[in-house]
Amino acid sequence: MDFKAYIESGVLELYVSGLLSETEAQQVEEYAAKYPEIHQEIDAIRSSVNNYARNSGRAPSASILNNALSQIRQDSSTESEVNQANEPQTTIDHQTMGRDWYKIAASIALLISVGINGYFFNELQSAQNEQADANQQIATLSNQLDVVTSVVNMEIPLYGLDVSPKSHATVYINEQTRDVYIKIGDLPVPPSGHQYQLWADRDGHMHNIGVFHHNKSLQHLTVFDGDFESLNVTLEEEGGSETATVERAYLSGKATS
Amino acid sequence: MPQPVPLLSISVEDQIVRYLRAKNDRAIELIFEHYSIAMMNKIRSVVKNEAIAEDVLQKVLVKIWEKGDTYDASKAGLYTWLIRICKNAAIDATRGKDYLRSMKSESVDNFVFNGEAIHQKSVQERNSGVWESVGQLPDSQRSLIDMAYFQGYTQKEISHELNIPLGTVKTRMRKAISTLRRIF
Repeated sequence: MDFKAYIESGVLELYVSGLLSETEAQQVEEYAAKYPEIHQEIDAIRSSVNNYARNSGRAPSASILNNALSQIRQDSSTESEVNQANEPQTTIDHQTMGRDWYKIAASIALLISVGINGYFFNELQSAQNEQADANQQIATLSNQLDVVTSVVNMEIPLYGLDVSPKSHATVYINEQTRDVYIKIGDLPVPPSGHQYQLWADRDGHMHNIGVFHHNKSLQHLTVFDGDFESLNVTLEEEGGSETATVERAYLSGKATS
Repeated sequence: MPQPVPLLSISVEDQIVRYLRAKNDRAIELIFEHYSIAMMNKIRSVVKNEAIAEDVLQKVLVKIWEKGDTYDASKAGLYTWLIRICKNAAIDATRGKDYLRSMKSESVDNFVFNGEAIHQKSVQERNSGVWESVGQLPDSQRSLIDMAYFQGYTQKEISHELNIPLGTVKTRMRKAISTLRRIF
C-alpha cells in the first residue's frame, strides 16, 4: 500500500472530523488496524484538533460530561437498590425435617456437599488470585491513563527535526504537580552507549529534564517547574549530558501555553 | 537523576472498550476527552440548534454507557460506533416537538448559530494568549477547519460554500491541518 499517497489524500482529516460516510470510515479503520503508520497519523490529527479546540474554547462544555456522569451514577445506584430488593428470601420449612430417614438423607447430602464445597473453594481461591492479578493490571493501566487523559495534563507533541523527520513523541506535563512524562511514537534505536535526553528551552538555555529509555511505554522523567518556549530531544551519551548537543537534536515541540 | 518508570502501553480505544465492558464510568470520561469534539460536530451536522445539540450529546453519553457492553469490535471501530450513535440520536432529536418549535421560533438565529458561536470564540481568543497561536493560521485555513470540525459542514457543503470542487476539499483540509499541527 502507498501510505504516503493515502495519508496525503486528506481522507484521514475528514475521518477525524466525523463526517466521512460510515462505509468510508470503516475502510479507514480497517487500514488503521493493519498499518500503524495510518493509526499514528489519525492520532496526531485528532490530538492537534483537540488541542486547538481546548485552547480556543471550541470544545464542548465540561458540564455536558458532568451532567451525563451524574445521571449514570444515579441510574447505577437505583438499579443496585432494585436488585437488592428483588433478591429471593430463603425460607426453611422445619416440619418436613421431623422424620429420621430425612435426617439420614440430610447427613449424606451434607457429606457430599462438604466434598463439593471443598472443590469449589479451591476453584474460588484460584479465581480470586486471577482477579487480584487483573485488578493490579487495571490499576497500572488506570494510572497510565490518568496521566494521558487527565485534564490537568498539558499535552505537547514533539515532531522530528532534520536528522529524523518522521520521528515523533508526546510529552505530558501535569500543570499542578509539574511531573513530566514522555511517550515515544517513533524514534530510531540509539547507538550503543547512547541515550535520548529531554530538554526545556527557556530564554535560549537548554534545561535538562532527564534521559529516557527507548521503548513505547509512558515514562515518568522528573518534576520540572517553570516556563519554557519549547521542548527538545537530543541524542547524548548514556546517562545524559550537562549541556545539550544541539547538532543531534531529534525532536522539538512548542509549549502550548 | 531520577530513573524513568516504564508503564504498560495500550491504546485509548482499547482502554475505553475495557472500561465499557467492566461498567466503569471512566470510559465515558475518556470518550468525552478524546472524541467529544467530533461527536458534537456530527450532531451539529444534523441538529442546527446549539442548546439541543448539547442536550443530544449528553443523552448520547448516557446511551453509550447503557449500551457499552454490547459493543462488538468485530463489526465496527469504536469511533465509527460512537459517531453512528450520535447520528441516530441527532436524527431522533429533530423529530421531537422541542426541536420543531425551536426551528419555527428561532429559524434565523439557528441558521447562523454556528457562525455566531465561532465568532464569539474568536473574541475570546483575541483576549487570551491563544490568539497569538491561532493567529498563525491563515484565515482561509481557519474557516475551513471551523466548518469541517466545529460547524458540522459536510464535504459537499464546504465545496458549495467555498466554491471549490469536491475533490479539492480533502487536499485543502490536509494542508490546513498540517499548518494546525505545526502550531498545536
